Amino acid sequence: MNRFELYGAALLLSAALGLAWHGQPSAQDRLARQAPRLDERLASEEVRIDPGELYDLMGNEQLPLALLDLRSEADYNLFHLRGAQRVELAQLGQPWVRELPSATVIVVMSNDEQAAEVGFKLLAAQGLLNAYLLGGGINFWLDVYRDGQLGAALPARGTGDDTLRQRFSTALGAGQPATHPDPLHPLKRACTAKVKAAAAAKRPSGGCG
Amino acid sequence: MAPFDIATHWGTWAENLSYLGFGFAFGFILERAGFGSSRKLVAQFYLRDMTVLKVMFTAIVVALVLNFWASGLQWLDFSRVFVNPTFLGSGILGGLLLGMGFIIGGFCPGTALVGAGTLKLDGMYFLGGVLLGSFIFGETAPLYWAFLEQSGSLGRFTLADWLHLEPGVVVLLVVLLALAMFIAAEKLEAWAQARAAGSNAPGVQQ
Repeated sequence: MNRFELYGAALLLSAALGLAWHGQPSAQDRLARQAPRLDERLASEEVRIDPGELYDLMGNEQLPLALLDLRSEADYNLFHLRGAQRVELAQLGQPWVRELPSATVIVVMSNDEQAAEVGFKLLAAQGLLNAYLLGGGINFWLDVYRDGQLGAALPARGTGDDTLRQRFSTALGAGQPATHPDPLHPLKRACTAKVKAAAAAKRPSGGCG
Repeated sequence: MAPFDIATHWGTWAENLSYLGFGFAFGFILERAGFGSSRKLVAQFYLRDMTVLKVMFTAIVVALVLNFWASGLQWLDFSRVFVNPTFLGSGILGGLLLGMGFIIGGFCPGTALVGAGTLKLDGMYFLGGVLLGSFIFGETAPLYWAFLEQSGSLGRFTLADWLHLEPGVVVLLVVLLALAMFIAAEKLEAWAQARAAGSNAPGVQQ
């Protein structure tokens, strides 16, 4: 080995040692770095979808859809949308979310929007292109589809303290009425569609060189 | 943050130009490293010249270190970098076939292009074989598609997933492996050259 090769090897080894010490960013690190950009996206409301749009998406069998419910187990047991999976906020920083098919539309929800906004940011910070949150949360969904206020305006962002406002006599979860679209009697609600199902670019594979 | 969607931001032409630029640079460096010569390429299998191993492994570890440093500094979102899905069975079979083709033909597909680019006849013939083989594969693939698609299908599966180690630790291990292989390659080259010189010495029976 000549001197040049030795310097190169030493440089590579130092860089690798430094990398092993430095580590890779956690979901929280990514979130902290991207917070300003994600706050801008939230403020623009481009990722805040109306219950009417989610209602339509749930009825679309061609679309891979993941509904992530960030509420307490008690609230989830009382009422949740059909197909919704209850997850803790901390779980959104774990690898399983990145293993969802790339075209899956992910909608996070809480009773209002506080937890859902944090959940959205955790997902988006990990590069998930199709993360959205349910505007108005479960409370507004219930106003629209349980109480029949189909024409009600989407509440302003930040409304509510993320507690479940409606009362239920039984904990039937997705067995309650108004948990999913009724294909025979669909309820139409005027809203602006915001979901753009983007698939991560798949590059052609390379050869040996 | 990278990876950048060049086509969306700057248009398809910019994306195609980037392919052209990277392709030219890659081909240029391969040619300058001597990879347009089938004699040089095949010499690695007889342990006489390990340039291919050194160049390729250097490229791999440099790219590995840079990619994961960029990811560690949050300049690159590695989860959005396309990683070829793993198919163990078809990967092993394909690797064996490629290796055999490499030894027999003297090129792999990329270096055959480099050889053809410098008007080497063996590179052109090999390239013709690659095209013919690709055509036959394409026409007959449905016959064995189930094997290709299902044999050891692990999806996006990296060394870090397999070893259950932090990516940075895996990078360090691969760099150490590469350095060990470079040292071993030098020793093997010296041994093979000494052996060849001994067998060519006057008075030594062939």
